Amino acid sequence: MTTLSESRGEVATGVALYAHLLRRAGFSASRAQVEEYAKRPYEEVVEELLNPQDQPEIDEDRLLRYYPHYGSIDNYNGAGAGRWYYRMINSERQLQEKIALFWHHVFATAWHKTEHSPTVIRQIEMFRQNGLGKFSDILLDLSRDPAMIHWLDNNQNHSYRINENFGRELMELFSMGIGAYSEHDIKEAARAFTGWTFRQPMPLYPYGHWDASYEYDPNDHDDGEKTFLGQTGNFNGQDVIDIIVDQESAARFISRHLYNFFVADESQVPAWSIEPPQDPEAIDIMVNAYFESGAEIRSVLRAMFNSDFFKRAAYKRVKSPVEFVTGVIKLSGEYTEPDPGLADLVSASTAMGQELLNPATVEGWHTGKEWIDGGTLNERVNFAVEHLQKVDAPGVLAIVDRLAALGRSLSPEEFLDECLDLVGPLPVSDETRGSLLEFANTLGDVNYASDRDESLANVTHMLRLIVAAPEYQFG
Amino acid sequence: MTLAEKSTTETRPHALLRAGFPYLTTIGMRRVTWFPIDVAVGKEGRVYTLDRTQGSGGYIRRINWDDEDLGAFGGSELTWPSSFVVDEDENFWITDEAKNKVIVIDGEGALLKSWGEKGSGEGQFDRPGGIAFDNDGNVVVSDAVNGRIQRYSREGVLLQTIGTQGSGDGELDGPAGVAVDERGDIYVADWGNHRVVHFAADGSFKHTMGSHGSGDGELNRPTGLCVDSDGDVYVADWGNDRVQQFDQNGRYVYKFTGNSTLSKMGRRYIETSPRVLRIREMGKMEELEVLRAPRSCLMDDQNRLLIPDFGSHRIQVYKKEAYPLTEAEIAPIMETVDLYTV
Repeated sequence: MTTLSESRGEVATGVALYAHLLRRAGFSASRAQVEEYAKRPYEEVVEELLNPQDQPEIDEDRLLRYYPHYGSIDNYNGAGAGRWYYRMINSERQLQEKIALFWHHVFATAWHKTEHSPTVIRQIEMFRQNGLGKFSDILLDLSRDPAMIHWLDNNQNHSYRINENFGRELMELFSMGIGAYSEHDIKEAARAFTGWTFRQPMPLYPYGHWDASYEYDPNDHDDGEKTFLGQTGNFNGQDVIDIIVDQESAARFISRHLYNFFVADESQVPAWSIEPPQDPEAIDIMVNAYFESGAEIRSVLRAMFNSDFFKRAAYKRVKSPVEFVTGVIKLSGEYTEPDPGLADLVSASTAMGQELLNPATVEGWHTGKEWIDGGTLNERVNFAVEHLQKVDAPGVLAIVDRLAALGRSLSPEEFLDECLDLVGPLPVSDETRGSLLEFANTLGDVNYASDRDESLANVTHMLRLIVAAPEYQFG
Repeated sequence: MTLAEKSTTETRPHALLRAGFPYLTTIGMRRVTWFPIDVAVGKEGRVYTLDRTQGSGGYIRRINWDDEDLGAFGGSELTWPSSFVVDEDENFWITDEAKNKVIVIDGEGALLKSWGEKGSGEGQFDRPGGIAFDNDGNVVVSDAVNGRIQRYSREGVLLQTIGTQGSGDGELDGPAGVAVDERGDIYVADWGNHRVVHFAADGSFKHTMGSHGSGDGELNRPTGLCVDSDGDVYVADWGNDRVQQFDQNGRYVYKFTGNSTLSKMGRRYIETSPRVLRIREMGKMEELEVLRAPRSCLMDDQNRLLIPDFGSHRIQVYKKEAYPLTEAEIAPIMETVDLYTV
């Protein structure tokens, strides 16, 4: 069994490499799925993941039959989040869901400002559709998205009285970062986006929500000449976006975001203007892919997933609450059908500090070690223990079946190594290993093919201890 | 009278002069009839909706034809209520597809009885969906994951099982709503096969209606249905946001996509909110009319078709206007279409 100190920073290989890829490009996979992928060349698997549109779309009809309000436009953010969880757990288009979560981090838009759920939920669907495409298309769709327009007040950005909020965040938080533009550029960008608004939907009462759609009002657009990032012209919003995506600052900013989300924890976004990236060479590789591909996110991810810096990054990120919850559920094998309780998953990640569809501010969530404090760690451990102590959970039964299939007695060390392997493979520190072994030693040698109840008891006990270990917080 | 004897009794008109099916009224609103998944009619003008709350839970809402909210009950017994019927004592027989039970409560919400557990054996359910009374007062229940219909006595004794999982004649895939006509025939919203399956009272297969699609007479995930005394079948075509009408031979007749106006309680509510009134003035009126994901429908004894408009938290009501024709009054069925002008 590989130890933590041995594994961190080494290029992952074999099942460990594919499991790492599937945790990052998706929301993890069952051991059986990982082993199937591991039979194929790594770069071929990367390519499959990068093209989720080639996989079958998830059939949500069964979900919506039993969760009918999830399909209603008049639901609430928790319903949208529950539906999203079901997709994250079951969709074969794993990267489609993961990239939607990524953009939800970057373009953090919250339900609480309007409680207009349809637009907030539709924004995530937009990220599913465009999230791997050209950065310019993503920003253009975002600028026309009613949820974003309202979130950052562009519906109040008029030719006769500009509102700078969207123009500012477009550059500060969504594309280039502080320092890459001036206050004058903000004003000019705001002018370019005047008239970008949405059609008034009917009110919530008495019959529920109604959708909103983008609307361009030429009579409210400032047609005058503008100078933006050193270029002058009669710019509209699309021109501003085209200028932004050509900036090296945009390539570096979005590459660093992708690195932080898919590779290893970076410092928090507000510090990026003063703190260099931890792996500048990695960012350079991603920036090159950005420009060579015409700023296509799929191409940047391809360069990233196939790089050695990615393969060395196993367990270098603290799992976000959503990744933690989906990872536990995929390990337990629950919710492959729309059973009652999806709302509990939403509540769980909210308690861990991440309320899907409802980030506190446009800055989004702080990541890495900031996910963890005494309270959230307790929530994480309790959630994992609750689901992995279920003796009827399919994933737990699968682990017992694998141990039984060995057909011989396992020593305490072998039992521990097998469990760590099947959970990750999860490398642990010597200290953690010693603690886990203390329990395993109390069991002695056990043949897991002999007594089903005893096997289940041993495995669920060991799983409870493993998921309570610090190492399990990393993914 | 036995079921077999009933099935030979012919009470239906030979044919109909269909005058129209105009929209009549809308009752209910958000947070009153909130996500209505089914509807039932009681005595003295009482109307009940089975409301499926968000996440899990549900309750029965009592309103009336004057659109007054008379309160809710039953919430403590329900997790995923799916369908319900009201009996002669105004007790409520409810399927719960999370608890895998038939649950019976009275008008105060008190539990009277329940039966069922998860499984595929006799007397077991796996996501029971639709529920209806047959003409002897027995209870007919669709058992979705098991792909079958079960008939129970009111004491919960299994009397009959109809259908098996599949897509062939007489087979079912995730059956949802059920209805029983005056002859005892059983109609099933065959959700997974996008059709209606018609069984005789003895369980023998008679025919199907509809096929997968969105055109006239085509269905996308039918979830509920009802049948009237003329033999017309109304299908909640959930995936197409409409209800469709078929005649007793399975021929497509008409579709209801929504003509809703403002309910009394809805009007009372928004009249106190100037901002809502202004926003409503800025929106598009026609989008307010439509049905959104209707899950069931009900024809009452006054030829009123009640459609629980699930996504819009209201009941749209239509009135059937049709006149019976004898065989002597209408020409025989023609073999071909014709451009004959009278």
